[in-house]
Amino acid sequence: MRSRGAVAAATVVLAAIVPGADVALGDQRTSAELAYTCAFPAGPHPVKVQVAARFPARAATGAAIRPAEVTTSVTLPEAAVAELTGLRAATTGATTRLTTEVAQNGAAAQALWLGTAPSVPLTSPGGAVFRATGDVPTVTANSPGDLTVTAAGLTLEFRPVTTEGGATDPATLSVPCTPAPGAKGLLATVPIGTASSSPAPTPSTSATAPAAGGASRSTPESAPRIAPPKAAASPAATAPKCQGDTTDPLALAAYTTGYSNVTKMGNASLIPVFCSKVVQGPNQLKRIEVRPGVFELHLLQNSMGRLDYQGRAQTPPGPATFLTFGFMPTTATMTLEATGPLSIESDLNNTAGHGETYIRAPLVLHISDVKVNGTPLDVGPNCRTTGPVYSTDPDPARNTKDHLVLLGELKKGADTVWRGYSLSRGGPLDGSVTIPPFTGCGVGEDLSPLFTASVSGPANTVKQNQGAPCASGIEDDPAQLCTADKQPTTIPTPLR
Amino acid sequence: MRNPLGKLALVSGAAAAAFTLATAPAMALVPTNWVVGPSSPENFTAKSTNVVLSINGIDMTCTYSDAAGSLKSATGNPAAVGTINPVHFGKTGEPCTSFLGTVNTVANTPWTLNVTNYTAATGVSQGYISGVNARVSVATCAFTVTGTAHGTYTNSTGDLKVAATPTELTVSAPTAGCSGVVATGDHPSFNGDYYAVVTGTTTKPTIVGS
Repeated sequence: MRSRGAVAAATVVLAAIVPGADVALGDQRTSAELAYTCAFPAGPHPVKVQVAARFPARAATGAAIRPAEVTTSVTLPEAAVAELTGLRAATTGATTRLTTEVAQNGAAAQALWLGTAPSVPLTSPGGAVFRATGDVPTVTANSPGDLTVTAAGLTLEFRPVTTEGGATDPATLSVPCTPAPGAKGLLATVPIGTASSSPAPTPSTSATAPAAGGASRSTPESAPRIAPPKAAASPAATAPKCQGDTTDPLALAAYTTGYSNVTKMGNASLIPVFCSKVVQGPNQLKRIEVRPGVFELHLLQNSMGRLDYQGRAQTPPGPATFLTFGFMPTTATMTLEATGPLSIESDLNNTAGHGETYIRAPLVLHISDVKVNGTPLDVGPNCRTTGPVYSTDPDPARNTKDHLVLLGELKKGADTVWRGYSLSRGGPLDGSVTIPPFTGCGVGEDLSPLFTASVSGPANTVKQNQGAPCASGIEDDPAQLCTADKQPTTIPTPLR
Repeated sequence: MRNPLGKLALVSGAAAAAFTLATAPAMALVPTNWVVGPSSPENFTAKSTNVVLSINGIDMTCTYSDAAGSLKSATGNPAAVGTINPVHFGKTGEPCTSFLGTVNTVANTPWTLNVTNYTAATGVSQGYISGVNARVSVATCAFTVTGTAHGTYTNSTGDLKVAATPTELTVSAPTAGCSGVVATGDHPSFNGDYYAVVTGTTTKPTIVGS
């Protein structure tokens, strides 16, 4: 969320790990400046790459290490920019594909870090800087020892746009880059301890003061806040940025919001308006024989999507209220983080006048900024459910307890009007989920059982409302469902 | 027998009569003089609650559609007696729907109202709308429909009944999102009743052919 300037001297070509001054407790923030040589069509150019991320200071065996706030900044020299402007490009966005090598005790694995950078103009002399952000895979070590993460190969993909707003020829440019000879791209070293001994942060003054300018996104809240969810739900929803893909004619971008009625909280938590980006799957029109000679016309479609909040696959952080110890009013910031893509499967029956859409999503519930009766309680950066919240899947073959299932129903009324949910029109989505136990909560002491007792459990109802999506990849937009920059115009309101 | 010629004439007369009977209605169905009432020219508005565009068995239904335009007396056959401009399908809060999703249509007007036949006994004109051109969108699927749409107009009720024949409307320029549902060359059907009045009144316009 916050960007830090490069602390490393610009002249240092080799990797330099710079623990920032604003490291959250139990975290290390790293920033490495790396030299690459990138093979542009006309020849190789030197390219400066800065990779910044937040890693846990240490981790336990079996626990997922989640590099957070990953940014990859790429600085193109003037000569490389000239190659893009040579294609008549006026602006370009970029995708970074950074291969990282994860090594421990002689064993190694590779992980791909994907980042997307917004468009920048290519007019200014002196090069261009792309700042790519995105989610990266987690790493889990099974044995103790130092785990290192090192940057290796990098591919830059550009999507240039001409002054007239059209695509260049070619429309995309993929440029492979290799680290400069002798460069070592060490990004982080995370000591791994055994699960029982691991949570041992150095500072002991944990619960009171986050480090100066810290990663805590605390709003000024001096008074104890025992916020009833109604108060939290009433302000007009603010929607995060949700710019749809303009290059894919099957792309949709949509906002969704709603309540998660956590049984143990005894109240409903609002899931703030979040952004989903979906690529519509192929349409399959099928005539299905229901009785000899009697056919029903179905439209079958399987689509894939992902959540997007500032480049990360998650919902925006939202307020949650519950009771700890059974009676202490507790507020927290709740985030749902996707550990995989959303799948959207629909079977719409034109003849019988109904349709069903099942949305499956692996979402881990993450809790931060906890205050018990107004007093901050440091739960650390990794307080979350042990796995995704999950539903009983109506498909027995997929009842794997690692994803939630929401059902959207569409119905044709006697007045011939279709109402309810379909991906292309939006509408209400319902489900019931089990919240798994918590893990990773607490700094110095294990607070996970407290949250498990307060929040975890079955039969929590979820009611979401998806707005009409923006078909961002096509020109047609008669109902003005997209803004000029292809974000959805429909911001749904939560339904009870 | 006494007048064999006379009998012959009778036979031929009968044959001629039969011929005349067979062609008489057809002769009556070629009016060339078209009079628009109560005055000409005049502006009209029209509304419908039951427009259905159907492609490959998929109904796209509008419970609201409106149109406006002008009518003018004309001669010829076919004769262009009116212009439709604009046409709207659905309105805010009452869009056209289908199982594919909400259907949004932009009609590229003017469309032309042509008449060809008239039945005086019922006050019904037959004809067609030419220059039909509309861009239909359902999420990522958008396509163009062009062609003509046949129909009738009934003076007593003001009902402009559109019932396009099976192949007179054609799909073109579908987006990738239409794949598997709507393709270039598909022929949609287009049905609906538009009830017309002279703008600002409850008077139904009339079209009389002779």
